[in-house]
Amino acid sequence: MNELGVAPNSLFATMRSPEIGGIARHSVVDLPHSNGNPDATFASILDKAVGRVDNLQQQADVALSGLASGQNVDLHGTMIALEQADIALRTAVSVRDKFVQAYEQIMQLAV
Amino acid sequence: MDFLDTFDISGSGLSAERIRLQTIAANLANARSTRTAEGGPYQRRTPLFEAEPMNPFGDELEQALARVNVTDINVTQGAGRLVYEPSHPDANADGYVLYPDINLLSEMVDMMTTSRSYEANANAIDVTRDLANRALEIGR
Repeated sequence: MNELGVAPNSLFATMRSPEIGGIARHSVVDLPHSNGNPDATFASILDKAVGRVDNLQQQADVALSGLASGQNVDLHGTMIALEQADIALRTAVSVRDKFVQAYEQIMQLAV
Repeated sequence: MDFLDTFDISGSGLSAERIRLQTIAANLANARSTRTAEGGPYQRRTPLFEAEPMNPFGDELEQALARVNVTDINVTQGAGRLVYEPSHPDANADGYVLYPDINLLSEMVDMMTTSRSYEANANAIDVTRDLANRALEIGR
């Protein structure tokens, strides 16, 4: 026991336990994508995410060209499609930044 | 439910308000129309809004949240208003013309509330976007 009145080992045990103060922690095996499915690799998840971003970009493209050529007069629908594509792209870029950051940190490890 | 679904809800609100504005525009444009394809003067139109679950087969949250959908354009069956105008080609034997029963003032008030509702829905979209952008800034 230290001055905090908490034994370090029990503290580590608490940190490893699935719940801390009622908040469920996500462990790697509990990821909704894995489910023991061999197809749910990192690459396939990334592929799906990029595909979703690409899909939203294409929807925005179709809405924009429809508006420009006078087929689609739904002005707000076009703006919403553009905004959705923008948010999806920014999310993808944020995730990419995090990956690159982690990669660089690992590459800087002294061997 | 994610951020992008919120856009769908607000987008349906914008579409509904646009249709409401179109009915008001039609009412204003036809305020003095004495002839219609069905015969008689023009009748006032009002849109019917219906709450539509986001996804009736989804989880509890998706069933509870609703988009708005314009199901019908209601044609009111008003009697019309009689104006004495004997020289009008549509005047009856007594010299009265049946004009649509459209109150320009109430149509203008409807137009103002439509405009405000549209702005409110557009604001909800802006706030959703701001929240998404704010979430993306976490940890940056």
